[in-house]
This record gives sequence, structure tokens and C-alpha cells, in this order.
Amino acid sequence: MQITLEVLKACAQQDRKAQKQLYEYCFRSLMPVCLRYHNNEEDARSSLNISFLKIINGLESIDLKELNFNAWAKRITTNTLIDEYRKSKKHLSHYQGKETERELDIHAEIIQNDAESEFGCESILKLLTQIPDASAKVFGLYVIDGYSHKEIGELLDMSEGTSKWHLSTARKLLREKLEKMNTQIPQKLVI
Amino acid sequence: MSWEDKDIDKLFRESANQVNVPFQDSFWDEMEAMLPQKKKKKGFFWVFGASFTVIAVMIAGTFLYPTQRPVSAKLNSVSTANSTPTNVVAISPIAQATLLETNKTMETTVEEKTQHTNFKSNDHAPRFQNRASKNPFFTEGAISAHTSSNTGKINPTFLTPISYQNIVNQTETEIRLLFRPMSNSIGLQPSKNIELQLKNRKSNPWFVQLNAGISQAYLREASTVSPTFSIGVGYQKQVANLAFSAGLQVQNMFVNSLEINRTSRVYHFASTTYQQEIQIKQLYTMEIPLAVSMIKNRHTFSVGLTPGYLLGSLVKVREFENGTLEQQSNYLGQRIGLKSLSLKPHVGYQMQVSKAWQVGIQIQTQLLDQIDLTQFAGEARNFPLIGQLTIRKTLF
Repeated sequence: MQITLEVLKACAQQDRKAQKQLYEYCFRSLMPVCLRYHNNEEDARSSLNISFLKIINGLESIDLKELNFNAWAKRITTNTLIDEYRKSKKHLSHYQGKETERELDIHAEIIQNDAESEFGCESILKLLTQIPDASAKVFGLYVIDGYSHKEIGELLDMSEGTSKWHLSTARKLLREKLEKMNTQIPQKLVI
Repeated sequence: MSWEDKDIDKLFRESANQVNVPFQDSFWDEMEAMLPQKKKKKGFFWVFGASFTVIAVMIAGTFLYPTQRPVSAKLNSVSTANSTPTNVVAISPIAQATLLETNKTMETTVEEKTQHTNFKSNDHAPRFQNRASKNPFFTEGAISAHTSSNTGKINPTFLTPISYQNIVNQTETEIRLLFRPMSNSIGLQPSKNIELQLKNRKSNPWFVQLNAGISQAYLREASTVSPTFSIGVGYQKQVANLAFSAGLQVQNMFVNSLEINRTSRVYHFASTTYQQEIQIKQLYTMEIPLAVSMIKNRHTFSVGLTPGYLLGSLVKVREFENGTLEQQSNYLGQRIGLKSLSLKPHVGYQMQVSKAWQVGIQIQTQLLDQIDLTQFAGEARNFPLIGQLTIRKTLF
């Protein structure tokens, strides 16, 4: 599916049919981005909707001929997600701090079972929810979204050095989890 | 397998690109409810634009009214043989009041009119005279007085409005001075017309008011602004330039798009789903508009508060059984999902177009909601604007 200039113009003029077409397109391209920042699909979709509203409002005031829509839409979505992350950072850290050892074990077991059943993309991405939130955000922004450490520092209110440290920590933790998954799957197969 | 950094990056990058979440039409329905309505904003803007234009034209017309004409062009003095017009004095309404006070305190003997002095207007004077006699607040009103060459006494014959062009550059004090020497030396008795005018200065405090406007209180995706109409009576007490008014009015608000859907499922051998779709079409509210106004000539600026009580609503109820329409009917008086009390502050402007009639515009907002927002799926603004055109008629 391709989004043409005419569709974008119609969207800017509040043409519902065109907006639905654009929403479907954005859903497919931006929902994966949102899912990386949220643990469940509902929250991801909520962020996507807020981002899409900003996109529609932005279309009215932007030069559509010069617009690289994919990059622009992704940027808006990422900024929305980061804004939400900033707002909920305090709450999230508090929430994570309340997790008991038993809860963590149960959570880890679920991840392991997912990995056993399907060593697929969703299971891989779910590993990002198992590492500290800041490290996961830095990893996603740097590796998947292509931001530089300087940009990440500005977005997440941290220094470049801290961003690099989070990236290194994220890679280290993800490596451990991947190795753990690797070792468990063959065992299961042998049994 | 040992995981290098580049392997981890590649794995996650590829995984991120492979995620595929199936799209459902219901997702779009949720999104559509959040999107802005262009039509409604445009409609709201144009209706308000038109209202303001009408008011602006009316105000402009007040100031641009062609009063800049020479007195000679308006007044054509035709006197009888034994009378000679010698003096024409124009006074403001304030000077008129002074005139009355002066005459009340002075003991004067004024002979009955022995001559008739007629002022005829060759163009606009009759119209002015008519307006001046009907409206005691009419600022262009003036008095002309004639002295008789035979008796040497002044006969305040009748009111003849003349342009205030002659006195426009004079202060009120100057105007009083202009008039007083003559009244003090000779003495004046107000004519019946003057008495009538001053008697009518206190207008009846009771009035009937009709309001028509549009509200952006409760909007849904497919709806435009909601039209509102209200009619009521009121009482106004004027103290100097301030007026305090209270009224009682019934407001009818057309809200075609308000819907409440209720679904219940009954389990028996199979299961049956009953769905009730309640579409609220009109809201009837009893309101008590309270206002304080500042009156300046024919212009009135007001602020106020309007508490209201919801009397009921007109609803259309459609009942479905397993998705099939079973019954459809209109009911009056349903209060499902509605709240009783409302509170609307407002600012307004009215202009006196004649003694009995005022037209104006009023902007309201809403502090208390009339519907239960937890059951409302549309866009309910915190401080929705309600624009109204008002027409008021003073009762006699």
C-alpha cells in the first residue's frame, strides 16, 4: 500500500475515507514501533491514535510536496512515545520496584515458554520488556530507530555517556537472555 | 552460540520489521471519534461571523445615521401674522430635565398660546419628531421655543427635533447656560409633549425575550453545532446606568446526535441479545437568567449567570433483538443519562432599536454538564461556547 500526495491532501481536508486509508497504512508501519514501548496492544494502540491525531493536525500546516511522510510520521510517533515515557517514568520505576521475586519468576517463566514455543520476532522483542526500561528505550532508539546518542540524550534528558552506558547494559542483558533461550530450547527438544 | 553486539542489533532490527499486527475496522472507529470535525468548526465560525456582522452593521448604522444637515434645511418656520420666530434653542435630554425642574420651582404666569407657530420639515424632521416623541432617550431630540413679538413671552409650542449639529461642539453646561437665561427671565411651562416625554422616561420593567443560537456543548463525529431556542419573561430594575434583571425562560436544545446504547444478553436454551438505542433529540430546560447590565445611551453591556433545571427530553428509542429492529418510538420526558442542574455564565451586548425593542448577542459557556459524560461517546468540551442572538420587547 502506498500513500499518495492526493491522499495526504484529502486527509488534511478531513476526508474520512482518505483518513481511514492513511490510518490503516500507519497502523501497519507504526504499530510495531508503539509495541516496542508498551507491554500490551491496547496501550500501544492508544499511543498510535494520539500520534495519528498529531499527524492529521500536522498535515494541515506542512508542505506536503516536500514531505517524506514515512520519516515524519515515525518521528512524530517516536516523540509521542517518548513524551508518554517521560510522564510515566516515575510511575513505572515505582511499579517495577514493587515486583516480588515470585512475580519476577512467573514473568520469566512466561517469557521462557514463549521462547520455547516460538523463537519469533515477537518473543525477541518481548525481551526488551525484561530489561530496565531506560536501557530498553536507548537500545530501541539507537539500534532500531537509528537515533544518535546525542539525539537520545536530548530526547530522554540524559548525557551522551549515560546513553552509551544504557546501550551497553541493554546489549549485555539481552545477550544473557538470548543465550539462556538458546540453551533451553535444545534441552526441550532432546527431552 | 555467542552473541556479538552486531548480531544482537541485527536480530532486534529484523524482528522489529517483521512484527505484523492484524488491522481491524473497529480500531478505525475508535480513531475516528478522536478526529477533528472540520464542518462543525466552519459552520460555527460562519454563523458567528454572520451574527457579528449583523451587529456591527447595526452599530455602524447608529453612528453613520445622516444627522449632519443644516438646521435651515430641516426647519421651515411658518409663522402667523402676529408672531415672529425669534429664538431657536436646542437642548439635550439633560437640559430637558433641567427645564422641567426650573419650571416647577418658578412661579410663572404664562398666557395661553395666542398664536400658532408651525415648524414644518421639508425632509427628515417629521421622522425625527416621531422618533423623539416615542423615545425619551433619543439623543437627537430637542426643543424649540418661540417668543411672540406681541406679548414678549415665550410659547413652548411643541417638540421639534433638530439635528444636534448646532450643539455638538458645546458642553452640557454651555447648553444649559444657553437655555437658562431665557427660562429665568421669562419663564417656561412645559408643553404637554414635554410632560409626556418625561413621564414616559421610566419604561415598563417587564419584558419578553426570545433567544436563538448555537451550542458546541455536545458534539459527535457526524453532528454539527446544536441549535438552541429559548423564550421567557423577565423583570429589569434600573439604577442610574446600571440595570439588574431576572427572568424565567424555557430553553429547547436540539441534540440529535446524543445516543445511549444499552445491551443485555439473556441466556436460556440459546442466548438472546437485546439492544436498546436511545437517541436524545431535544433537551428542555427551565432557566433563570440573572444579569447586571451597564446602559450607555442605546447600548447595553451585560454579564450574568443562568442556572437551569432540566425538565426533560424528547428521545427516540429503538429496540433490537439479536440485531433485528423490533420496536421504534418517541418518548417525551425521558431523563436517562441526563443531569438536572446546569449553570451558564454569559456576557452580552444589546442595542435599543426602538423604545420597546432591543436586539443583541450573547455568548455563554457551560459550567455544569447536562448529560452524564460517562455515557457519552462524543466530544464534550470543558467550556463549550453557546452563541445566541437575542430579541427583547418591553411590555406595556
